[in-house]
Amino acid sequence: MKLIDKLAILADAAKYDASCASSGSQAKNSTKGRGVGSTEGMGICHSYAPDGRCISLLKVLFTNFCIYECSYCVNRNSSNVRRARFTVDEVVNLTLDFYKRNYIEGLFLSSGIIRNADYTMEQLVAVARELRETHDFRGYIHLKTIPEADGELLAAAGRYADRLSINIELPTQQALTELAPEKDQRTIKLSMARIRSRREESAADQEAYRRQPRRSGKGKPSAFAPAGQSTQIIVGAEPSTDAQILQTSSALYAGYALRRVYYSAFSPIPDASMRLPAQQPPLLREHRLYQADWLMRFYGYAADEITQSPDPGMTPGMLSLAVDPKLGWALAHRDFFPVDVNRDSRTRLLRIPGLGVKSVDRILQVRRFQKVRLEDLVAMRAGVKKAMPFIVCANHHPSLIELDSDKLRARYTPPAQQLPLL
Amino acid sequence: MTQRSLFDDTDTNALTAVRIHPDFSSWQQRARQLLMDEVPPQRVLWQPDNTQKRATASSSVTAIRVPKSFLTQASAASCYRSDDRWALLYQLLWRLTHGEKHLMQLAGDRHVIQLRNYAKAVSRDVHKMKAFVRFRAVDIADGDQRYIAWFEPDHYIVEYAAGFFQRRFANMCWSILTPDCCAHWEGSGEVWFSEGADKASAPADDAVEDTWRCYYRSIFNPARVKIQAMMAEMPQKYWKNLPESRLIPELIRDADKRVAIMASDAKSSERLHCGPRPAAPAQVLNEAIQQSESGSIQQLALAAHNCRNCSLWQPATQTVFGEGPVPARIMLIGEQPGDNEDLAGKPFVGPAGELLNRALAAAGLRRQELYITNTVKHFKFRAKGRRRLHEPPQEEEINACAPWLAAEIEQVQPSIIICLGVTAAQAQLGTYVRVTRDRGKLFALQGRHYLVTVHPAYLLRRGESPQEFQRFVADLQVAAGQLNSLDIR
Repeated sequence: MKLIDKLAILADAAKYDASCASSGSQAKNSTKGRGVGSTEGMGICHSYAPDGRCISLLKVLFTNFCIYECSYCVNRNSSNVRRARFTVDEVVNLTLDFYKRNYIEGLFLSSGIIRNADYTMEQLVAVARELRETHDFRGYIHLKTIPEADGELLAAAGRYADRLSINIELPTQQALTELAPEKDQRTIKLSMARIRSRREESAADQEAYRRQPRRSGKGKPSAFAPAGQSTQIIVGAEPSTDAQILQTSSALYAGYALRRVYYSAFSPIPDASMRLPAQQPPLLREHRLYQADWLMRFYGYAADEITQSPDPGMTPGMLSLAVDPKLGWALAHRDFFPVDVNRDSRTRLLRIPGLGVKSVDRILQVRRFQKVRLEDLVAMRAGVKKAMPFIVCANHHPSLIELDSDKLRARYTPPAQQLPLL
Repeated sequence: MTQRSLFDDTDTNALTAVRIHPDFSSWQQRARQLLMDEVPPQRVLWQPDNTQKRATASSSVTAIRVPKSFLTQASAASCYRSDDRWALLYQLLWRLTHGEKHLMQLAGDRHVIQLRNYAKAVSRDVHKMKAFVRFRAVDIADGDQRYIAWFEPDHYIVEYAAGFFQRRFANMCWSILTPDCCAHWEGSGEVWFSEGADKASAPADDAVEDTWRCYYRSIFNPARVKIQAMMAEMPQKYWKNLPESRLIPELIRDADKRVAIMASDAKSSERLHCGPRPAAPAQVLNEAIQQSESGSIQQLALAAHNCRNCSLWQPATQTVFGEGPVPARIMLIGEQPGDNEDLAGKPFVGPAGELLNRALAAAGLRRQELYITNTVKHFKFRAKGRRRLHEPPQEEEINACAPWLAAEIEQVQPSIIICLGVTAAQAQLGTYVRVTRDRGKLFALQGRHYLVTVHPAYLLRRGESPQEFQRFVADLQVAAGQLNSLDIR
């Protein structure tokens, strides 16, 4: 099989993984090296496909042969798709050829399980090792970790990769047992736990090194997966609620210090299993989950707060599709408002619909020197129109009647049916 | 020199024309001079002129103190494609040094907003340049290659952005050609710049672009077309220099057809294509349970991994079973595993475990001779951001776990059970036990001795005073003493 045919198969097989981040790693560049590559904190999206997703990394599978039978997966054992397998050198050369032309930030390598977990993991590690050691590649490497693989392989993977990830796939063990019978939440979490522990150890080693009075002897200890770990949850392949999904996410963030949880709307795949819904991917639901995830990570909301806001006509535990979760919470907690932008705490300001973290921090800065007026908010490009009923500022005092009104919700929801997210 | 008013417009005729080479250092140098001469902004007419000499970075020693945020934004805004940028920068500099030193914090100020918008536009342009520059390899002498790109930025950013390409492609030779300015790197030394070029001087193709297009086509998911999202991040003005963009119309056109085929293709065949499936994890565990010695502690520990007696198993990582020799003369029972124990799968390995180890040693007890376990075998927590906060187990959870603990005691057959903390004490001895009142006392119950003391986490919470630690050690010594007296008998 020609290389380009393998690429077609193995990129196609990899596209259902939503992760694309290339940010947040330690700073490195090739000025004192032999090869190419740099990571400078910010990720770069080198292209966008018409699905609106960024293309930042060469995202491929090492092979799409797989002995597992996960119903939702295009590469499951019983799927009738074409199969291919790269060699280590092929992946390495593709990565370097693309990188040198500035098409990509690096490599995101995953794989179907062949023979067994250890054997598969060895192949992934071999690619990363070859890139780092033979070619002194200093770009971004994201390795998918096979949870059942040996701890030593995991250690090697963390030495070479910027990011490691293990997909939890589905929010509950029950769903996993049903749809991915070879997978097990306990094994997945154990692997995440191991990555967290390794990262903490390496952070402690680096701290100890920094504190040495004279940095003699051995060089700086290498960081373990400096861009952290992430995971993915498939949304809409089985009946779990948004509440269950967010509950799982928040436990994962807290337990294993994940950088990101990705939500991937289950989308039709070639040669799909009859057991799964042949439907349009629930893109708006996916979008709402990302918004809720943001609220948990940057706005101080707890998972259950977000999903407990009753929305007329919604299934319990599901996020409203009509209004975003922050607005939904505000509409359900009117007694919390109005919030005074000139007096209230950051925590309270963060709950105002329409104001993001940046706007809130700007307000806090400005109000040290002058009273914040409505025009200041407009100038800061805060979402003033949305925020108005919920705030008090120097020249704006909304009537409390409006805040209590039944019509307030209607103001934010279009009268016609919700349009699909485009 | 006398201080002039900022609003003194009486002298508008006396405009000073200032000709500078359009780069940040040249502006800095002249602005510094004007400021020293107290020339107000409305009297300065900035005239960018490419024929002027460039200022060198260190041409002045006079330092003017300005906030760092001004400097970083100003150096970015100086690349903005508009001739009014130099006046804007001087306006802000003047205000910053004439009584408005907090100016940069006034996010609603007209000039501050304009500066921010200019700087933002430039940094976005730089970001897009980093993203959308596409090198094409050209063979040069000795089998080496030179990488050449053609790019059309909105603003004058080539010099500002060149450092990124130098750091990233330090060991390649490359050129980035643009209409305003070209950057070149020879693999060492300094990046050098030349006059603007035209597109024809850049190479027209690269064989790898076919492979890249194959990748672009394959990574696209036709089931989730979101054209606006793509256009927002990759505006059409960039498409003409992106080798992959020619695929976009066809990918969009065929997307619905491809999805329809997928939907009609669904099938229920379960014929395997990649060899036999491995055993399910639950089955593996069940086999291990069956193969282990019936009724042994190993079998118990394995079986406990499957425990669903209460809901704590779901958010936790794993069951943390007891650990130690069987039988053992002393058994230690804590409350529940914490964050570290949940990760490691072993009891008392975190900070509380470390304190316990020290206390045991001080009391003359050897940890490896004790059997150590918890009342509840799963970590109960509340997720708060990046942390898991300990939550005390409720009665139903304690009861759900009781059979495991009873089975452990049955196997270990300890002479003395040390209860660490109230949860363990009350689970073993009943709710009438009070740790503060009853600590350090021995209770005899059904032929077994029980000792109650505090949980080491309690000492940690209270800041671990030497006195408290000594009391804890003294409690443990009661158990050690009892063990000796049992030996004598």
